[in-house]
Amino acid sequence: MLRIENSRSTMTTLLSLSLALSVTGTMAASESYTLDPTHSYPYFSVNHLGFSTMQGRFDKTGGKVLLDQAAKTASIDVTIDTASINTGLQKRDDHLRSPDFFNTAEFPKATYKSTAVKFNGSVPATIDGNLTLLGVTRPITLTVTTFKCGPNPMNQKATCGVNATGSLKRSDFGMKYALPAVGDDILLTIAVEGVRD
Amino acid sequence: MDTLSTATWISHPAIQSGLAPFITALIVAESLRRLRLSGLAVIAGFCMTVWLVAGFDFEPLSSTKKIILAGLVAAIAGLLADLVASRARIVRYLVVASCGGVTLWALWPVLRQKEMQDLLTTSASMMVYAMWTGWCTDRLADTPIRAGVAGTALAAGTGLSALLGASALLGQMGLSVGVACSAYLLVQFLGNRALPCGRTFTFPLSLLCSTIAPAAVLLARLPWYCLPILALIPVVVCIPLPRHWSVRQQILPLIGLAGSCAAFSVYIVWREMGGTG
Repeated sequence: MLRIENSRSTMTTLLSLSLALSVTGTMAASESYTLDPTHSYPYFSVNHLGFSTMQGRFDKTGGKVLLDQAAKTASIDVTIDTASINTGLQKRDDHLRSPDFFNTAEFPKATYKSTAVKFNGSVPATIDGNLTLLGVTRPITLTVTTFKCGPNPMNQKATCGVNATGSLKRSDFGMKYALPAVGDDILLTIAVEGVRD
Repeated sequence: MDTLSTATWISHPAIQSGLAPFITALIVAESLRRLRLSGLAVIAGFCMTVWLVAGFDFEPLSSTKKIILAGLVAAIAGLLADLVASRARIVRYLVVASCGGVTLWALWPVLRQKEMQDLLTTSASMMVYAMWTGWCTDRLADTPIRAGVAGTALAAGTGLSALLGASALLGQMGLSVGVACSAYLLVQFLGNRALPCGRTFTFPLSLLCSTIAPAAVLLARLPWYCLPILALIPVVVCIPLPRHWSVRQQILPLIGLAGSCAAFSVYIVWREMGGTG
């Protein structure tokens, strides 16, 4: 009887150990990248009065990417400083920072957190995630248009870069000023480079 | 007129914060005169603009939406105060406390991001402005002409200053109140008779004006030194006038005085913004 109990105990210990090792192994394979703020920018474009498409970007962006190409898993977490909006015209940027649009004094950050990344082979193809803007969170799917990992030729650091695009309606986030004159449909492009930690 | 052009027409700022609230307030001021509820013109005009510009969706409850919500509640509270306890002095203290409290509540998400010293000085100065405006405007509750003039100048000055200070939404909200007050004033001017006023008129007016201007300072780029100039408006309309003057004779000099203060505030913002608006 005692021998049977000892045997069960040994089995449990071995199972626990092997499970712990396999989890550690998975975590070790997933590489962490910190976004390079000098090469990571979210861009947006919006129709202006039906005449043209205006473009802008946010100058300050940070975040993390976890990537395991072998296991085909990834996650991305981007934080955008909304006050860093830049459309090339100070007066327009001031207006975009006001409560009419991004209300940056009250909502200084916008975030995008992935919930699922689908792979095409070893390359990410689409990113499902939640965009939080003006205190409202909505699901946004980004389509990856380019993806590359490798040593940066300038500093030899392991780097991954991705361009991804998606669309959203600004009214879904409560940004309703000047609709429909200034378009509701926003094309969002996130271009980021991450340096391996 | 097809659907598209109607949408374009309705989305024009001059319609949203000018014509639409003016006509609404004009109808309310005249049609509710016999019921002594002409003061509802202010909130009616404001609601028309809110409906056209932002809607009555309060989720998430941002600072701007808190101001809208507080304006609606103030209109109901003002109406109740007139019905129940218009002479009680405690009501004035409650009005003043509400103006200060609502300003702090509405702007807290921005204020709390500041360093302690900045937080204290900014909060205190915003509350002083709000409570001062609340006190001075509440004193006008029994003087419809002075209240109408103060409302027109204070709200229009606040709205135009906010508009130039890079917030069209706050600007339109302020302008709609000013335009509604001007409609209320016009009915008095054309009929040469005073309309019923009371806190139904002054409470939403004081609460909206006392929160919109500080919001434009913190959320947009309205220079803080416009606030003392705007705060003079409900004071200058209290200058003594000959008792035998008609309603029309009273309105003209008062609107000149109060309008000068509003124009000065607008001029300061215009200069601060580089003179191009």
